[in-house]
Amino acid sequence: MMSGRRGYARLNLTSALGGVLRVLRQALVVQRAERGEFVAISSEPGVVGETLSLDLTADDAEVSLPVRVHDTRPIVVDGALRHRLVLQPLESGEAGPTDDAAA
Amino acid sequence: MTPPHKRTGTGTVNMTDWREELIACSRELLGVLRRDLQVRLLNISGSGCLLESQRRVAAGTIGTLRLLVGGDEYSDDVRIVRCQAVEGGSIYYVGAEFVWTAPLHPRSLRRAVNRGGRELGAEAMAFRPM
Repeated sequence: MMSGRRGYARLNLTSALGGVLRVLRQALVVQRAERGEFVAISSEPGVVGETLSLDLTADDAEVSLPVRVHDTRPIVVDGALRHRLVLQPLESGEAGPTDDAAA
Repeated sequence: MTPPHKRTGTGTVNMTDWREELIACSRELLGVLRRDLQVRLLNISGSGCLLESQRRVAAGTIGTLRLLVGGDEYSDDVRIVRCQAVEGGSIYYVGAEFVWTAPLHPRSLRRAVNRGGRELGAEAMAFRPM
């Protein structure tokens, strides 16, 4: 049964199911060799302390590594607002669930 | 979160050495930032679902919702249409609609709903007239 406003019947979960919502955004990444950090130019701001995964593509290989947002600040690139994110690579043991990152 | 790894045409290998090469490299690379949010599915229909999250998710965000049910992974692409804080802001109710970017596949959430939702442990909500 459903109200006339809805086009689809809604199903209730007998017990809530846990899951993951994976969100992707494109970033142009510039290496910063001195401290091993990555600087990414993104269309969206980051949240300092947030743990993300950074997928990089070079030649025929891809690499995925956990990073923490160390700094985020707006910049203007070619007249458009972008965000400069400083990303600290984490050892795999350091990377916790994204939801636990400090807001 | 998955440990760092390198994927090549011949398989997956530890990426420690490759990471050092990567860090030493000074050229620009195209990257993708991936954010995995832990959510709980509260209810679902053929058009979308209601999620509970501990983090705010901006309306308009597009992502992939993945659920593990009895050892099987169900997934579908969704677009966030609303996000409402509850319980003093520590919990958010997130409304999402399915984005029809791919046909129904055997482990599609939309397909599971069309089959009645039993494999997800879902049952039709009772309608109580006002």
